[in-house]
This record gives sequence, C-alpha cells and structure tokens, in this order.
Amino acid sequence: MFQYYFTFRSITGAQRGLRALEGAGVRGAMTRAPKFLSVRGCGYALKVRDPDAAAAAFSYYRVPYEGAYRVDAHGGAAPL
Amino acid sequence: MIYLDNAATSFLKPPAVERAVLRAMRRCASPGRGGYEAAMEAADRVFECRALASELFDCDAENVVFTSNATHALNLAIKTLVKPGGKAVISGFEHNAVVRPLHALGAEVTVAGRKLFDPADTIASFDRAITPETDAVICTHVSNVFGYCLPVEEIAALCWQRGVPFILDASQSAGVLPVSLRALGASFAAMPGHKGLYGPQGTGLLLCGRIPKPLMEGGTGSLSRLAEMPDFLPDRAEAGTQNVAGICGLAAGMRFVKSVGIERILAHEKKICAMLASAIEDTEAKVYTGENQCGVLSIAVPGDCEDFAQTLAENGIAVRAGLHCAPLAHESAGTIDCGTIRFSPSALTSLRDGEAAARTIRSVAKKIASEG
Repeated sequence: MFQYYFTFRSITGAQRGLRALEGAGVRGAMTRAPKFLSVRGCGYALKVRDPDAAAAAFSYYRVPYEGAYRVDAHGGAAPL
Repeated sequence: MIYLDNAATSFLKPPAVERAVLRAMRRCASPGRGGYEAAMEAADRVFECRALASELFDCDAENVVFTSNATHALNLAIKTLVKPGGKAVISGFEHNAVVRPLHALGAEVTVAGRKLFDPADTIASFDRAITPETDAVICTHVSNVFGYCLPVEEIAALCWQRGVPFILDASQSAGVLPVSLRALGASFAAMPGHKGLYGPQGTGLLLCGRIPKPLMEGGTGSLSRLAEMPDFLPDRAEAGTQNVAGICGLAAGMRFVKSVGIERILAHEKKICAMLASAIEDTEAKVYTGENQCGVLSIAVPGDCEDFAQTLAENGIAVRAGLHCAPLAHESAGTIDCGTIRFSPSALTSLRDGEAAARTIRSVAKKIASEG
C-alpha cells in the first residue's frame, strides 16, 4: 500500500494546489510534509490517492509543485 | 458622533469584521507553522483573505503580501525599485508615505501633475517627466486630501511603453474604484486594509507584479534550513507571524465591499460629499470640487482650519483638518499655509447623518464668519 505526496515550497502554494484539486474534483488533503521529503526544512504537502489526476489538475490550473513521491509503509520514498 | 474621517480609517466597520476578529483570536494559531487544527485553521483563513484580494484586485493569490498598513507596503515597493540616489517621478498629490521613503533614499524626485482636477495636464506632465533613467513612477490613485482621481491607467501605460516600473498607491481607491494589477501592468499596488476595505487597523496589502526586496528577514515557515529569505512570494516579504486576527477581519471587510459593490459605495460617498459641498457653497469657505473626484471633500476657511474642526468635534462631527500628511498635495493646490478641513464619508455613513452634518457644518461656517 502506497501513499502519494506532492510537496510545495510554501503553504500558500499548497493551498493553491488544494484549490486546484477541489476544482478538478480530485481528493486530497493538506499536511505538513514528512521530514524526509522536505530536505530544505519545513514544508507542506498534499496527500492524494490518485497522483495522475492530481498532476493533471496542477497542470491545468498552473500550480507549480516541488516534487511528487510515492511513499511505502516503511517510509521509503521514491520520486514519481 | 457623525464620523467623516474615513479617509484616515473607516472607524465604523461592518459587524462581521468584529466577529471575524474575535473568532480568529479564539480559533487561530500561527499559520504555516504546524499541522494541528488551530494552525491549519489560521492558514485557511489567511489564504481565504489572499484569494479574496486576488479576486478583487485581479492578481494571483500568492502575489498578495500582507503588510501592517499602506505605508509599510509602499516602503517595500519603493525600496525594491528605487536605488539610493536614484530617480523617481511622482504626482503632485502624494502622501508622505511616498515622499519620505524617497527622501530617505536620497532620490532625485520629479513632481509631475500639480493641477487639481485636471487629468489632461496630469498625463501631459507625466509624459514629459518619465525618462528611460527613471527607476520608478509612483502615483496615488486618489488624493487623500481632495479626492482627485488621477488618470492612473494612462500613467501606467506611459510607464509600460517606456519600460519604467509603476507603483500604484491605492490607499484611497481600494474599495471604491476598480483596481486591477494585471490591467495596469503595475510592479506593485499598495493599499491599507483599514480604510475602504473595512478591515481593522494594522492591516495592509501589497499586490506584487514582481518579487520585492524584503524590508525584514526572519521566519516564514518555509525553507527553514536556508539562511536566506525564500525567493518566492508571498514568503519573501512576510517574515514573522502575520496579523491573523486582523487578516480575518480584513477578509470580512472585503466580503462586505464585494457584497455591496464598489460602484454603489462610490455613488453613496459622492452623494454625501455633494450634500456637504452644496451646504457650504454660499459661505465664506472655499470648496474644492471637480469632475474627477471620489468621496473625499476639502474646504478652506478664512480662519484656522484646526479651530473649525475642533468646533465641529464639539458639535459631534469627526473630521480631519491640517495638512493630512500630504504637504505636497497642499502645495499643489495652494493650501499649504492654511490647510483644509477634510470630509470623508463611507458606505456606512447614513444619508440622514450626511444631512445632519451638512446642516451643522453650514451653521458653524456661518457662525465663524459672523464672529470673524
């Protein structure tokens, strides 16, 4: 079972991302970015179930994100 | 009290503003600093305010920077664009919030357009003054003393044609005139939250068409491992915890403006100013009116303007007299030595209060004239 995260450089960026997901009817929730995903320190992420739909929504609404990751149950992260 | 000093601050606020401030104080912690409910609630409310501002002023939400007032916003904008000892062009109706930062920078300032209520002269004067060496043009949208609406679209277009950055001071226009950062192509637009947007004091906005240079450095809740400020908006210009309660009140104020509509607000304020002007016109006071005027009215009286304002205060009418922190505007209009008495209603000034104020102002003007 994987979890999918899109990271943003600021909380405002993540909030715009969340609005984009809402606009596209894609489920997502804002959360603090896990420490291992925020290498430059402190960030916010959107946790989604459908990363392809989320990426399409960000692209459509022109919301830039920093990274997209698949995280396994042991905390192993891989870029999407 | 009949409050007619809304050009300084809108003292009467919609009840929703007070409720929003109280709610924020009870429910909101620091935005962007945690993932717990109270921090996320604060972040949601702050973003909501950014989004509202972005809709009202036609820019992206992340380009809305919260400041403590318009002066703070103007300082950010001016100190980003004007080099120490650089060149700036300003109108003849600027507030000290523009004049003093330029003075502190040692800038060479050209004042363009000093004729009151004469947009053609204002445009021609800016056309002559703006050169490729100009670091920035800074222009107020509406004179805080006389209510003169300057032709900022045309001035912004001149800047655009010559590749000169344009800063709009929307201190008196936000909430009563359309302001579009995108349409103006402005580098920055600065405005207070506590005047025509009906937010609490201690709130302001800087709309950014480019990345500003920070006035302060500090925590932003982002890129915390870096010693430098983030290079992106709004974080670059928002060091430290924001005024969350104030921002929530500002959002409620902007919702009020949206629901009433800026055209209706402007028409209402102009109607009250017309009442006041007509009540005074056959007295010895000089009334400053013109075609391109918003809901701000100034009069000059034969005696001391402060005495006149004090007499009005004793009769329950709150106005502002003197130079209104805009000596340049008074120089332009020829009122620098006498000052003026300024009347500025708001959307919440009732017509009945306008009529009552007009009667009192007329009787005070007549009484002072008879005593003089």
